[in-house]
Amino acid sequence: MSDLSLTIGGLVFKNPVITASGTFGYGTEYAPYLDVSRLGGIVTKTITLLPREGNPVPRVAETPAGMLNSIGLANVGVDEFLKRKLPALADLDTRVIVNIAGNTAEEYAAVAAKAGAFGRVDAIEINVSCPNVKQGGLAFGTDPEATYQVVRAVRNETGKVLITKLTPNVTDITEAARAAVEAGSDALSLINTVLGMGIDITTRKPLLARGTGGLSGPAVKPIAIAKVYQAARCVDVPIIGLGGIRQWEDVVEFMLAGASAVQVGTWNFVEPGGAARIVAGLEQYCASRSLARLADLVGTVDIDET
Amino acid sequence: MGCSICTVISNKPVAEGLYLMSVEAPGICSTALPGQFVHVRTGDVIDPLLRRPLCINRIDSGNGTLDLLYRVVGRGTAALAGKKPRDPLDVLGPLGNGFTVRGNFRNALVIAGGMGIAPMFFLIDELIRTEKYVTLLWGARTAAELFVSSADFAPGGLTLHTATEDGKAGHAGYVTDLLASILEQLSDAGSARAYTCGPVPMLKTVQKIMSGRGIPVEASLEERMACGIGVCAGCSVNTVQGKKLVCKDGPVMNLMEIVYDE
Repeated sequence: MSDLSLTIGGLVFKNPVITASGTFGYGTEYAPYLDVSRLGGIVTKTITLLPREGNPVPRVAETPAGMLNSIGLANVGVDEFLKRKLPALADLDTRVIVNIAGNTAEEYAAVAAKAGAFGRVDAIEINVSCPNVKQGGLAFGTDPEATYQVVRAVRNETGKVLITKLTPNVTDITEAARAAVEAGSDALSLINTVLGMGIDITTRKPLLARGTGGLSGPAVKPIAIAKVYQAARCVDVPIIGLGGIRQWEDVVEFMLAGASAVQVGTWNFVEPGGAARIVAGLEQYCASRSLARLADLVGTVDIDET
Repeated sequence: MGCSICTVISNKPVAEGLYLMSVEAPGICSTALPGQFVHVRTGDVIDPLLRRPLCINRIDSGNGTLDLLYRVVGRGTAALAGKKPRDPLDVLGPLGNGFTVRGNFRNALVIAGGMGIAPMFFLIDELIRTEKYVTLLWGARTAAELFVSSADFAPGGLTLHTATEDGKAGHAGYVTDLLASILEQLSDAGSARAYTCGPVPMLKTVQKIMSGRGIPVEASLEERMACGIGVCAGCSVNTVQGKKLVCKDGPVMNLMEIVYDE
């Protein structure tokens, strides 16, 4: 049996397949379709201090090999989440990562302090990369100094493993990557969605009510691979790669680029249970290649340095 | 509910651009309720990427087959229209909440416009089976789209009124033009329920006409969705109780509680 495990900030994940924020609900919705305990981990949808209803519809739209969304971080709020949603995850044999966001660094810290008080929460993912909210979100992620302040504020509130989720909507992702690590982030996850827009040429209306939104799905995978490759070469913490993953081959590709783990996002919508099949695919890959440790692949892309 | 590879039995146009696909899906048929939907992959492809939500149009429980009625409007439905008998079809469902069929009422009023007819045959079959007296108000663009008649349902169970935009069959105009007078004729409004599905302007009109009559009105709603099971939160709808999700809290909801923008 090959070893698929990895360690992030001292926390062991049994395999590198994690479900991405916003695509796996509060962790139980997909239970009828897959054994959640097969996964290395799950990330909850973004949790904020107060409940949010999100943006007006249409707030999802299909694009070639992808989709646009502008959900707007609709969620029940941290108190309701901890009281009513988290307990349902008690018996799962998988890592539970709570994704958080706020309008200010203090709000991030407040949510982290509340969530961090629960033993079932294994790690916190800091969302500084949502393109669909007016305040916070992307505004923090595109400014390395603001990224630093948010991560620092969260770091001061909790000893949990911290993962900072970065946006691809910057010229140089290594600036935000370095800032997050300097502020105490144990790992980075990237990429969040790519800012995108579509227009119906008959009605002249944007496909999303809010105009722009975040692009995800197979269409963004090459962008994600490039960003992971760039980030992995400039920081020493583990990178969690995501963007368009739908099969085990994609996971191997992300690992070669430098990712220690991955997240499966939009594909959950297409194939409920697809994430568990990716785990099975990786097991077969390791067995067929007699690979003792999957982690040995990380960053081994064979590229001529010039 | 579950995700299964089913088999296409037949897939034919019933009017221009309007298709009826029959799918062998005994597992889904054994539990499905009128008003529920299935979420269908258009093929083993990443483009189009997302599943397509389709109401269950009708069920043949004896044969374990379900019918899906759809209009070809884009690449996904065009791909569905290309399916041949014996082709596999990846179907997730049944999903969502269905119509209220059981209960102590006698008259059932069904108001459908355009593709809003999609969930109604299954509903009407069940209403007739539970001995309700069903009146269907069916509006379509053209006479050709009125592709079934009362003879296609159990005898004596259904009274059909039609309206067409081209004026070639039934009332020339919208189906909602007929609603007020039908309500006047209703012998026992205190023992009636109404069911509706159609474009938003129609639903708004139905909401106005039905307001204050004390007749429960259930609407099957439509919104762009990705996951179909309440995860992506894409298909939000405004109600008097705040935002709800069409896929999980619906698609059937109390029409009188839907809040439409002016």
